[in-house]
Amino acid sequence: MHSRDSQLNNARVVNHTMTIIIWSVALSTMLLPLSIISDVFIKGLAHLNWSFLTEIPKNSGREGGISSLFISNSLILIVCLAVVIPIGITTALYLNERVSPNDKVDKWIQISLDVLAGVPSIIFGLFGYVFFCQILGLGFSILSGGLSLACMVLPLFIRLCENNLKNSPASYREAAEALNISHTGFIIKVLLPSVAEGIGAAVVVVMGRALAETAVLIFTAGYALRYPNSLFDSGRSLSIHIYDLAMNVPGGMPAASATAIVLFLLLIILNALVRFSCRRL
Amino acid sequence: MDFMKKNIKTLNLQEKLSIGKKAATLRIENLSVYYDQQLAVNKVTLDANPNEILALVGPSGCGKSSILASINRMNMMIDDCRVTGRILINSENVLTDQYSLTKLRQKVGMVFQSPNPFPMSVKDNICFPLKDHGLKSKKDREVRMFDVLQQTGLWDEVKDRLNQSALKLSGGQQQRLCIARALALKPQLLLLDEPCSALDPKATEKIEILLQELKSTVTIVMVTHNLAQAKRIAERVAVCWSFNGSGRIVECSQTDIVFNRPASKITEEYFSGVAG
Repeated sequence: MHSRDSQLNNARVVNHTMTIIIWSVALSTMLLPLSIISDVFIKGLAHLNWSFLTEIPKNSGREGGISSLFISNSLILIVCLAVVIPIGITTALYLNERVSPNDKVDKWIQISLDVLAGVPSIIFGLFGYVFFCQILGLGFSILSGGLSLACMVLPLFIRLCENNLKNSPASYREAAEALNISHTGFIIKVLLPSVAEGIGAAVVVVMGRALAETAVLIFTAGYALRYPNSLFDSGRSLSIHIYDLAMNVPGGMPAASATAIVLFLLLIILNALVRFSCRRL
Repeated sequence: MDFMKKNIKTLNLQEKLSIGKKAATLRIENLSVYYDQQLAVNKVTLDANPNEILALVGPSGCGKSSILASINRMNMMIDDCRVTGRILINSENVLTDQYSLTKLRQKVGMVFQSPNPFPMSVKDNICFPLKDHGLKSKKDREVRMFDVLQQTGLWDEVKDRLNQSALKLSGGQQQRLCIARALALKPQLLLLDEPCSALDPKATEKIEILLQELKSTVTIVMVTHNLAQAKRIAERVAVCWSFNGSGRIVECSQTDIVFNRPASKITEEYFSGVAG
């Protein structure tokens, strides 16, 4: 009787200890992003005001705002997504609809996607510099930057879309088959709408990656602080601006933090927008 | 809806047009189905006639669904599936390559175990397949939609939410929508694979009444686990049984004969709950 009681006691002690350990681990993982965010807000909030959003940078970014960078970054993102979304979805459709799982083409595409997804972003930067800037003669430009970014995020986007398509209910395909719906009709009217929410989520992930990227853009989109005149003009992204202010500009930390807050809020807004619009489909 | 009033004339015309299309006769001869090397259905011979419901009953894994899926060549979707024998619809063998899949699927409608309307509006669920099949006029499509929704008793329930997602309908309504969707292509033969197994008794009753009404226009072959349901609505019942993993028909005859004076010992034991 006595030994049973002590066993129960031991179990209780172990139980409590484990609970405490797991809670503290969970809390500390939450603390890390929270501390980063609060650090950025503490340092940058004072610098953030309306003119910061509407003026162009002055004095290497220590003063003025980020409006021109905002435009440059938006253009880079638009170029990137305009390439990634159509190519990514069609490739994922090809893999899902045309290639059987044991096919050699499928195997090679999967392997190259895995390899590409693991390549460090600086390599994509160098590739973009050589291929887009020099060989294609696009120079340091928003176009070069957007296209290089597209190369970097494409493998990830294809993977995410492919997983979504694989998870689309088989019952839709059965119904379409029994009704003898054309393959194109099925893809456009049934399959893609049924995975729209998942593809929206994939777009959000990819946008996050693209907005956070610096290494690729340093070599391809350049540093220019002015408003871009066209897609062939150089333009600095927000993340490069943060990097530059923090590393190369003495006294640039408050502006860097304020830019980080803007980038952070931008990501949240874009995330909400994409999810909302895909849910309505 | 406006088009209802305007199109009474067209509707009558459509009705007249569809009179020419009779329910099909179905004859299955020596049908065998293999999955890889495994014989799942062994030399089955069966008939289904216009104006009747043929119910396929039997325990799980006896090949009922395989027989059904062979009729509209749905099991072609499965790799390593091989079908031998003949399936004659209106005396034409549909298992030959000469018989086009388009023609077959237009002639034979299919309804599945769990309701599977497309993730689009109620209206599009019926109109999109019609459009895909080349019915160009929007008016014609809407008339056909009205027609089948009336036929399936859904019109009064959904007329105010034609543009809402079909996934918001109840399970029973979704299943009737799937029947309506199949009927919109004017099939001569309707295959149902346990259409009520995911539904509550009330929804089941509605579907059973609907099937009774439909049998005058389309021949119905239905797989069911529910013996009481087969007894209630089928004119004839075929009992499938698995022998060493391959399904065979042990008995096929008028419903009251199968239930009251079964010719086979297996049927008797299955119905009395001793076997199966």
